[in-house]
Amino acid sequence: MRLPLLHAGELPAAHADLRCEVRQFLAEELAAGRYTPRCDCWLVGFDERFTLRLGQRGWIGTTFPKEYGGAGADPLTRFVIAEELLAAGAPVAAHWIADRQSGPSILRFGTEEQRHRYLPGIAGGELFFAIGMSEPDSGSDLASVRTRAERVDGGWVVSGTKVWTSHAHHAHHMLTLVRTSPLDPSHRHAGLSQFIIDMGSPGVSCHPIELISAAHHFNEVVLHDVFVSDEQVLGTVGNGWTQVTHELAYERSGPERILSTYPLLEAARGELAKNRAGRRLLARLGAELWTLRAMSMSVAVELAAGHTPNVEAATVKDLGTQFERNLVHAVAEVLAVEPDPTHPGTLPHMLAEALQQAPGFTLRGGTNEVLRGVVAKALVASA
Amino acid sequence: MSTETSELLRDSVIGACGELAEAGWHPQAWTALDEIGVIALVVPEANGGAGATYADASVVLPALGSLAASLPIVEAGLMAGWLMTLAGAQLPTGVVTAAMAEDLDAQPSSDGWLLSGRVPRVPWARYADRVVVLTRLGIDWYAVDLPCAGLDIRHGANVAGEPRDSIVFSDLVVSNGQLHRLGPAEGLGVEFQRRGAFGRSLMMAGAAQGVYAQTVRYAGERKQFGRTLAAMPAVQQMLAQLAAETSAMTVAVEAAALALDRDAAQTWTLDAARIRADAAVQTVTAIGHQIHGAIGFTREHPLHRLTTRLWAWREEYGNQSAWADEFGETLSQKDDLTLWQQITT
Repeated sequence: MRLPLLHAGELPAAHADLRCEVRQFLAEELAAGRYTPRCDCWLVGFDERFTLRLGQRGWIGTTFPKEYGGAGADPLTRFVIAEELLAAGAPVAAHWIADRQSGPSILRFGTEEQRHRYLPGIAGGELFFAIGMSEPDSGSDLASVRTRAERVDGGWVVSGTKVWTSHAHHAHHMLTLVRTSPLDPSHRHAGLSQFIIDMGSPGVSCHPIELISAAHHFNEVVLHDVFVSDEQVLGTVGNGWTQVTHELAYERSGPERILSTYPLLEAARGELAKNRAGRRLLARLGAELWTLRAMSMSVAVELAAGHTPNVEAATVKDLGTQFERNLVHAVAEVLAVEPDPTHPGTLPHMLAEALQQAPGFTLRGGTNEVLRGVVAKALVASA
Repeated sequence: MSTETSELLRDSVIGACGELAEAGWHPQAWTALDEIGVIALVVPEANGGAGATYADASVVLPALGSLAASLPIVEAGLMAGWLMTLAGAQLPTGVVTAAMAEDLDAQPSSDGWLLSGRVPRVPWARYADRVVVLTRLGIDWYAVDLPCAGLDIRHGANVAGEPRDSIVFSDLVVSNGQLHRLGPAEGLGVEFQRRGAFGRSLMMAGAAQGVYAQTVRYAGERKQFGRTLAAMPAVQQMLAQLAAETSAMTVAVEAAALALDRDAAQTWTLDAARIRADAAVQTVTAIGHQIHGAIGFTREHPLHRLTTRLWAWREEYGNQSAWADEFGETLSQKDDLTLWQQITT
């Protein structure tokens, strides 16, 4: 058997027009002062009105079938929209999670009734989701979640605590991984289920967790005897692990694992171009970005063709998130600008913000080290 | 090109070469590749080539790199063939190499020119039938087509033991028929080097694939402390990084080839691919050797055939810094486009 190895794929030429349209829209928004480019915009750039405007253009939930409010487009259409929004540092955090993974999960595993209830709102840019996976004692090892659900008449009663839940304080729903049967040490992945929990339900409370930068998108979400009806169970009870694994595949090798700090590079480009060391750095980072983008695109093309290049996707995430971090330090080294977090929109501010964000890149979406273990086992098995 | 087509092409190249012994020159591989018509792959048929695409070349050259094949296919197919095509001439037959020479002295004579000077580090010169030398005489560039027999060839080598010889001549008689005028285009020399650098990048991606395959296999077989190396978390971390770097090199060179097939003017993608391929060499070779332990450090073990070529090829036709200077200029020139817009055209 051949070892996993990524080969270059190409986007269909048909997407070029769409790319121009998105660029045009972003240029107009920027010129009108309706957003300020920021690093890590898919987590820190929360702007409901911007999201609504994207929804009106049909650029959220693009891949959903038309009957659920989408455009019935192929996944590469979403890829093009996503990379353009991220490269611009546009405020896309409000809908990012729902567009990327909660929506597709509901489309794949949800009932007809659930699809009609949630998907049109997501596509319209009006309905926001959070991911309830991590817990205080459960990070990369998701099978160890302890949030428990007890069977009651017509549904479940859920208790537990979720952490690092981005934008739970804005989200309407949280797609939550819970244990519906006790942990069986010999089948650790059994007995898990996914619930769509309404954040307005009695017993749900949300507490901010500030980041190093004092930014707030992380939350602790405490679930205290929250009633969840049978209609809010996603997919099959006990099938949560399979569903979540599928959900993680959406988030592993997308452009948000490559472009999170690109707005800093663009902001610094004029300064860097002024001397040889800066131009060499532009070349090195430009070559790396071009390569990573080609890799991410290749995985997207494979996914769109119905393949599951999980190992390749994990390697893109590994390299891409290191690039996001290393870019910040490399730019800082050549630029000689003191980072200063006081004046948004300036280079010192972008640098300060990016430095403080950087430790998160190689953690989220499964730490790079855990993913490397998974990759290595797959390599040896295929050798 | 579909996956099946590229695998067929790859298999035919590997099949044609057969087992290659450790050597700095593989004449039997050259003959076999010549027979299946892949030496001058991207040279138009009218100029003596196969008229194939760069996507085809991005299959053939990595396949040869993975075998640690030593032959001037980059020089013949991507460099000499390109010069002769520009000149509207035929690529000579036989083993052809190519090189650039600055400051050659040329004196007119009755039936042509008398050339004097030195052409440094000509790949496989001692084994070649002909060398096509790019040089500037006055304001114009010329491709000079020289038979190697009788030339003063002084031996040199790269770190993989591949011949990198100097050719020295004094009042060498060159007829007008051997001189192909290419005009005064300012960037011709850089373009020539760029094609050489890209050819080496393609070979390097293949060599990295070879290191990757050998290393994963070894880590799965070799046991220490009662378990395979691959069962150790520290080794797993390295294997995954090796896989990632190898994929990055492969995608970079293939994407550049696709870009060139789409638009021959997109030569900046060759620089980007070269920079990325060069950047991977240290990690790929370090991990390959670290996992193989002492045995991989010996002459007897085949690993060095790939790793020494990676070190050698990285430095030839301009190294990472040289191409970073070029690409950095490219990226600094356009104020109306963002960097992102420039690299996604």
